[in-house]
Amino acid sequence: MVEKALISGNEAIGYGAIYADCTHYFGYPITPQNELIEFMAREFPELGRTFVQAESEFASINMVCGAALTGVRAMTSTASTAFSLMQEGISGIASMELPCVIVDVQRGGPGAGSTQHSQMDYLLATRCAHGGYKNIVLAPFSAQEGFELTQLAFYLADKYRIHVILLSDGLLGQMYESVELKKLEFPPLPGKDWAMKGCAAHNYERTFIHNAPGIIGSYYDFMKRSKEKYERIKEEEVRYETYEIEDADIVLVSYGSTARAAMEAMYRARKEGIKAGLFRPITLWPFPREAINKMTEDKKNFLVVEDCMGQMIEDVELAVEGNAVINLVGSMDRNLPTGSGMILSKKVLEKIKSFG
Amino acid sequence: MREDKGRTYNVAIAGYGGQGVLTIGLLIARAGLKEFNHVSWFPTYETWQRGGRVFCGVVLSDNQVVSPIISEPEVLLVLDQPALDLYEDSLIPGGILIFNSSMVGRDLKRDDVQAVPIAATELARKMGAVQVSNLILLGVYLRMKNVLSMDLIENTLEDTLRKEKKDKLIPLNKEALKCGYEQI
Repeated sequence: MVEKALISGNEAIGYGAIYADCTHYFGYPITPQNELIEFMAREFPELGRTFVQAESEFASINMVCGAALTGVRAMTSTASTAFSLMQEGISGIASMELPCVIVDVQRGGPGAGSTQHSQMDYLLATRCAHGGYKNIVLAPFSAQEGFELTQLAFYLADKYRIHVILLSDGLLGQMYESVELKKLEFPPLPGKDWAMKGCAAHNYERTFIHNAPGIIGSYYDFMKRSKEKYERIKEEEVRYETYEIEDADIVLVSYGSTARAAMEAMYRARKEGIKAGLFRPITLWPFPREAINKMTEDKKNFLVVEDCMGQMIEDVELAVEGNAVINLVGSMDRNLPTGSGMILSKKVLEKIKSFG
Repeated sequence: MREDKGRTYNVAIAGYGGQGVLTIGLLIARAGLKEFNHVSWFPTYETWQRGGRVFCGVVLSDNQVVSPIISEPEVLLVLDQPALDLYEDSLIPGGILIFNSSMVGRDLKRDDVQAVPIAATELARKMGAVQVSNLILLGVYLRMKNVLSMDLIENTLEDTLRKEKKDKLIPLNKEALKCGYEQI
């Protein structure tokens, strides 16, 4: 029998990490991801796994780096303000091609912003820090999916030897939902013969992993390998879901918690005879560009719903190649103009009607 | 995840930090998990621990919950007047508005909803603990809306308090629930 639990979206990610056999967690408290680090602090030592509360997020990302170098499954979690702080470390991880999982439970910004939810880190998560690297970005829209995508994140990280960002948000993190706790099965993975496991494991041959691909070794080889990896990921790992899309005249595009309000608005519109549909990207990188582009053959009206001033809309714009009209429901459409206001289905429905 | 046949209920609760808004919401959600396949509990509160605006929404459903973020609740439990000011308009026409009349000093604006004024703070004070006024309102909800049985809520309440090692509070809490239930 599958265990069913009423847990927060943050805890669901923690369970996902446990079910994915993640053995090392490093983090530092920050709202709105505190339930996750609290869960890890409680559960990991009980299971004989490693939990470290670092002195800062800069330290925790570097600890993840060190753990991942040895080939173990390692992760950290944080929220926007401190996700910024981690960027140097993440770039270093990218240069060493280390598989690991980084969770960003988005809050408002810029700066310390607010302690409440937002979706203002889309561009940072998908466009990354310096150095032109790419990383997989997975965006759950429910606690159940957070649990499952965390397991997938560890699998993809190992499959491609790449770091994966799980982009959640404050609403998703703090709401409780019923979740079926079930371990996902994945195909076999390649061995980690590159990992630094001590002299004996390497027959006393020297092993060396460094963060300066343009100084040591061939920069060309690094870029070629990276490029091929990114192309393969774009080819094989695009994920999205569509709802009521076949006959839709207006297509909502939304991810994360906001997709829930968008979905409700879509069903409400349908009840009123408006042919609305919903396209929900699950991988934000690689973005489901072709699937959106293909829709423009017969769909000319898109409504992007995201709780920011407009970030994912840039990817949608690139995808439609000027062949459709795109409007935005964003942070200015929250029900309250405060940090705790949010985008409600009622407002999205109004916008569907005005743009439909 | 789509709207199919089957039961779906939602309830929203609003008040200020410290009144137990989130607590009774979680109680409904935890009890609901024993009766429904899908449950969501969605909290929102300001950064202060006490005194800030607090709101939570619970959805109980036979199907996957489309949106835990309730835009227009069917039932609204209001614990003080600022909460009424903020959320009165959101209730669906014909919805149930259960409000703590001890802490509301004005008439309702809406005449298209079923208004249930309950002097919850006064009733709770008579019991010797204003802290249980939230449970009085929950009792009213259970009576008004036949979604979850009193037994189920009582069992969940007992489990929760035992887990929190607050066994001695069980009789008072159950009394408050019963008091609310019998107001109607």
